[in-house]
Amino acid sequence: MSDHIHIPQAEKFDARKGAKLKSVFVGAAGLGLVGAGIAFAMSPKIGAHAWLFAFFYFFTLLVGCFFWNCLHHATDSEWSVVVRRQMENLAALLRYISLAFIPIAIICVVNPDLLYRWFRADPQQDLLMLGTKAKYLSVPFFWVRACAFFFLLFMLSTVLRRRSMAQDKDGASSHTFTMRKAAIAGIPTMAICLTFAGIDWLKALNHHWYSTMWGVYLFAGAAGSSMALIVLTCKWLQSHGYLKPVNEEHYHLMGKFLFAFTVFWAYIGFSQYMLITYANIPEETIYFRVRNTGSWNYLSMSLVFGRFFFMFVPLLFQGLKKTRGIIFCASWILFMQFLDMFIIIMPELNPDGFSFAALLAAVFAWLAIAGILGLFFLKHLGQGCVFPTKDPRLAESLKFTN
Amino acid sequence: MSESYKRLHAIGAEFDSAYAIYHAAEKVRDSGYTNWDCHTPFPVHGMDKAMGMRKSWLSAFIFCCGLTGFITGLLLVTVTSYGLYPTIVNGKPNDWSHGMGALQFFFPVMYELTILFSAFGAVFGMIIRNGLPKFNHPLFNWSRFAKVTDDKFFIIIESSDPLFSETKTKAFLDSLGGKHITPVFDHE
Repeated sequence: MSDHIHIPQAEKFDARKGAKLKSVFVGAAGLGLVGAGIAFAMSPKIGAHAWLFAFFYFFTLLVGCFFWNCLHHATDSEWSVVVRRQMENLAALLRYISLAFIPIAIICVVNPDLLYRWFRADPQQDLLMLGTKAKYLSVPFFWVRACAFFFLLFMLSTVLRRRSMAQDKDGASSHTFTMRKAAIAGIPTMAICLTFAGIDWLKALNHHWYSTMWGVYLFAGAAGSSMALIVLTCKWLQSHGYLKPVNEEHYHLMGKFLFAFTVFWAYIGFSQYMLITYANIPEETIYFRVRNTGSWNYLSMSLVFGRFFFMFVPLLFQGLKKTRGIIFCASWILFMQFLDMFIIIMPELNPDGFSFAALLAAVFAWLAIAGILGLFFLKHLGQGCVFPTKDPRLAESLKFTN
Repeated sequence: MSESYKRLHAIGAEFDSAYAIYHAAEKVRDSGYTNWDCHTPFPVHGMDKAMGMRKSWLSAFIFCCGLTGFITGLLLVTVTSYGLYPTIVNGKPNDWSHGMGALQFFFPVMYELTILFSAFGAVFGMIIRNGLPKFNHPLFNWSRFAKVTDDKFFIIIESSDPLFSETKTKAFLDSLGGKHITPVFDHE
């Protein structure tokens, strides 16, 4: 409770300091686009799945960042004010993620059999399509939903970022109240969009399959990995001399969230597995039957041990969360999100086993979208201050202790 | 003081604000006293730092309890269901010969016992660490100390401290701006 809180000056990001990263992003985007293009030309099916994989990987990350941004306002948090601008910069990339969806949309129009067989399924022929699912999985409704997800997430993430940047200029507290309203609308919107996007774009890869845990499973992975991305963003900015007020207490708290969502992910993943295996209904067990056979089983077990057991013990320790150790944990969690999405999507392409061609195509597609979104992120970074300079709660955030 | 109060327990000083006690605590910390404590009507942020308190060892104790719970759960399910009385449920394997057997279905047992033992460790470890339960505390012999639940703040330096000296400690607390500096006696 020291009385003298030094309110730091507004920091503007100097584009020259991001020049190195910018060239990395340009290279990744170029290499990735060429590689993904070649993969698509050689095997449209592999290319389509790889692009869907990369798209959904970044979609979950950005939706997760949007969730953290909303949670900050909805719970009226103090601690997260200094790191909030980076959540906003990342979440506002949701306006560009629809660009990454364009190839998938084209595939769905031209040849949907590459990804979603239900597009051209005949309800009279495909018995399982009959009943309630046929009403949901109809082509016009699919497009309406896709537009709704992108529009809602774009609107709300933009409002949050624009209002926050406006507050940097005039310091009016009315922005805080507007952002709070948008954020409270944002949390259920995020939940609905992520759940139904997961059903439409991932679960519908095998439209016979059911899982009632699907939405919350995706959310658990999204929230944990996006917090890892926020940690890495802050660490990167600090290594360039920005965000000095973010101290070990903030990293300690973000590390606690990494830990919480490591446990939550395992809890939800296990619940899904347990419900399906115990009930033993064929249209449910098919998902785990494919993924727990042959080479997919090794990857599935690696995910269980890597995402949960390997992260559980180190993240228990305060010391690791407060030091550079958190960089390793955050990177590892992002890598495990890669594996998680890979295991969700690729067995639908190759049910018999893992293939290097699919992995290579997935890496190229990943690089392409990472590079493009990275460039837009650097653009966002240059547009405003590095942290909300005139937020009424900035002082509380600076002197935060766990 | 009546005859029944004999042993000098501590010397206490009263402060008027959280600000005053916070800075006084920093000085007590820097002067090298070890057996002393602050009593406040509400939690004062950063007080642990001002008092120079290090991280509690309770988390390590809880970790050990959790590990014990996990191993207990593991043994409980495997010894009974794989060893002593192998039972086939829903056609699931019941021994180690099929990889892990049906170990994944026993995870809830291990998980719940991990949590139960950790929670017990946290609650009972905290109670033991605080020396509870206690029927009385010598500080209740000091009538002004009742104000700690209202609007006064107290620093207590105990006589068991190696640096303790009745006159010097009194003078020291006086120099910190403490009021009503009082020796507190214990029942024999």
